[in-house]
Amino acid sequence: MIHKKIFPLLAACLAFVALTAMFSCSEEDVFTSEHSEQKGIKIATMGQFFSQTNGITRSCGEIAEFSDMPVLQFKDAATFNATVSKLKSLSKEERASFMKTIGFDGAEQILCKADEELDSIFEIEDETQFETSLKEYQAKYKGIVAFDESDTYDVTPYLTFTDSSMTLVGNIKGYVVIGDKLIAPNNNTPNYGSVNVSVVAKSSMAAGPIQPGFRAFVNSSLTIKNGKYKSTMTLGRIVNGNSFAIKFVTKKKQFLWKKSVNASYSLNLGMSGNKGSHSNNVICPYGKDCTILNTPVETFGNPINVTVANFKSSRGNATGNANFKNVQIQ
Amino acid sequence: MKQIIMLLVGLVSFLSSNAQELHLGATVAGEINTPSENKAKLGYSVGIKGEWNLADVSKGWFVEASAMFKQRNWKSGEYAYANDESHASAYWAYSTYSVEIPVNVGYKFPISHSVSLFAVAGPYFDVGLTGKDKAYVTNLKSVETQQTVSSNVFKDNLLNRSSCGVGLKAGLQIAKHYQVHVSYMQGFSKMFKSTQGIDGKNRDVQIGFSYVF
Repeated sequence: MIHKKIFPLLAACLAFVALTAMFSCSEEDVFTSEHSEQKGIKIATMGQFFSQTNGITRSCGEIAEFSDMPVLQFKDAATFNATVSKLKSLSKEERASFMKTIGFDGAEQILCKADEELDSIFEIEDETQFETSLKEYQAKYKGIVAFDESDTYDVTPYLTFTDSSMTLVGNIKGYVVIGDKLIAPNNNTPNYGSVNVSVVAKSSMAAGPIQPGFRAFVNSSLTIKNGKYKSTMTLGRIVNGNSFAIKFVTKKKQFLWKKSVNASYSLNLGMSGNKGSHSNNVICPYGKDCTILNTPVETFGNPINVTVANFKSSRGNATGNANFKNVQIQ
Repeated sequence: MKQIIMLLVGLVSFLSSNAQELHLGATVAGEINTPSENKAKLGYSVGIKGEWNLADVSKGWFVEASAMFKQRNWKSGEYAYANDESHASAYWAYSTYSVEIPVNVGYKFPISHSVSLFAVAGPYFDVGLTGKDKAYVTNLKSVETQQTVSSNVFKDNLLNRSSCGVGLKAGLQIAKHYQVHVSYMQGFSKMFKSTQGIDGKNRDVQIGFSYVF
């Protein structure tokens, strides 16, 4: 008899507790997660916000296929900005850890995962298996990440946008939700051009990477002499692309005759302008004629001052140093 | 192209009208294509030629015109892509087919009963038919891959279809029919489209053999 009275009472109590807990959660701020540092952030899907098009540069039709894609929803712009600032101060690993606590894989994490996946495919020694895995990989990430279209053999994954903030907080397509508005990345351009100097501009018709070409800057050449050998370095830029480059040539002279010979080169190159300065060692391997630097030509402003130190060729022990003032970048 | 065909028709008509002094022949030549700012490779040319003796004008002088089918090959310098000691690099190899029409004025010096020395000079015109551009990329693991950049460098606006220049040729004519000659041809116009920003003018060194009927 007692049991018959106690069990319904216990059941009622449990039901009350459960309902109380449920209502307390639903009435609480929806942006509150279990971690106080992620307060004001929750995970939603893009499709929920397609009617709110503020800030979207592409039509909803174009991103409709991503309606189920998770996206971070920030309570307001202040929360968004604070989160971006915080993430910028963290290391890549710390950002990954932060996102893990939310339970969200952002653009940076997915790109990293895709890159690691590609790395493991590149370890496959069997060519047939390699190509099969590569095709599966490309199919898996088609439309999710970008591949360099100017080089069909370059399968490096890139983000489909260049917005640095959205790289940190956006989903793999660079979107976030602030309040109830879906916000697109500022630049919906694949970012392979900005990070990989080996990508050269392609012709409007050509199918692959075209010859970079070289254009020398005026008064930016240094020659050293090693007996019969004369080695010259000339600073310039590639024409079909946006990077600094150095052209090297060594000629051997005998009487009136001369011939080009292979050599390797090294030098320390310092460049400075109104936007900043940088110095690093440049090496041109044996047999190569031109080294393309990993530095866009607009990095230091225009004109620039250039310092060349310890220019050496493998055809002798002579070294050369030079300063080129007010070099115009053409 | 129409202009070239009309030029050919005009040339043949002119030569035909002076058939008594016209000697037709065939020429084959191996050549080194060494365009400026690029690296040399071997090519060849084969075609027909006509020699028109200007005996009425002055003994020893002649006009020579040819229509040559030509394959030119060359490659770019090698670009190192990494700013370190890795081996990532690339170069581009080009192979073009064209019709070249040199028109020369020359002079023959008899040095024996059956042997003459000759030297000619004159302009040439070249019309590109087709050509390929291939990139050879060596990755960080020193594995070289080949990629066709363009299957028709003229259609894809990589190279200029028409070009011109001057040529110099010297050789020996033996027994009135056989000619062995060495020639050098220097282009005036740029090979690459200006949008490519790559310098380079044709330079061909030929060693050839002709048979004149």
